[in-house]
Amino acid sequence: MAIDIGAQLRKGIVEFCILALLRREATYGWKLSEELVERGLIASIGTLYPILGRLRAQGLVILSDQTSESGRPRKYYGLTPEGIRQLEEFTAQWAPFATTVSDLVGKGTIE
Amino acid sequence: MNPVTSNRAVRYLERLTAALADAPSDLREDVVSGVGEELAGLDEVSADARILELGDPALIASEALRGLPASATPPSRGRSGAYLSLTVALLVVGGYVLPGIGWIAALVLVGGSAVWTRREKTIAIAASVAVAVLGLALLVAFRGPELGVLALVCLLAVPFVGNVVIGIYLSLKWRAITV
Repeated sequence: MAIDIGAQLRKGIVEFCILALLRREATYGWKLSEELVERGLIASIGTLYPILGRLRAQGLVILSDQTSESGRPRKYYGLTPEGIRQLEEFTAQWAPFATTVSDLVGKGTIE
Repeated sequence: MNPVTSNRAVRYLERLTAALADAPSDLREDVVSGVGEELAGLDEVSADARILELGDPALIASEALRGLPASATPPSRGRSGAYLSLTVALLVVGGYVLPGIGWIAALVLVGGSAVWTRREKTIAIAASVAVAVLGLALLVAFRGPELGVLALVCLLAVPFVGNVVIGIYLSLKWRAITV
């Protein structure tokens, strides 16, 4: 069976991308979904909600009722202090990890 | 949330809800309310454009289901028609047939079903407790030799009528998901 390499790479990474987007500002599901779909990190808004559910269950993300810029009431997702801490931990580990992987596989040549 | 007024949007949300029948109720609620926010307050033209962006509700549902961990409990509990019938029967007459126990069993069945959302369960259980308290309050208010019969009628009839209404509410919500 062929392995979907893109899907494998996204596993475990998308959660932190969502936390990173929420660090910029609290936002609602559709806006979050638009940005993630555009960047090719999720397939559709359907992919987003199970992840948000897990992040909420882990206490990394919190929901609140707010009014959007268009004046419509919406559910906004924001980071909790634990979410910020987890994201900082991930950020600290990501750069050396990415460098190591690039060193190993990123040359683009096969001998 | 503003109401969803466009007919196309209402039908779209119904299709999405039905496509998520196998999803845990909390996830279903999250997806449907999240998509509903996008369709709320739109006229038919704007709703059509947003529906086009959202895509096939079956695809959204399949993506949502695929995102569940493999260890997620299959949400089959409380999905059968027999479960619904038993729940509603116990809710309406259980308290009279098996005083106290039958009614409590009904509330446990409501709380244990994977079909109704957390909000729907909270509404049903809180309303059932409220009509029981109301029945008891009327019993206390009307106690005495002259009003004794009236008090007894209140104690029996108020929870009965209230629980019939709650049973209808639960049945309608159940059918929206499973039919």
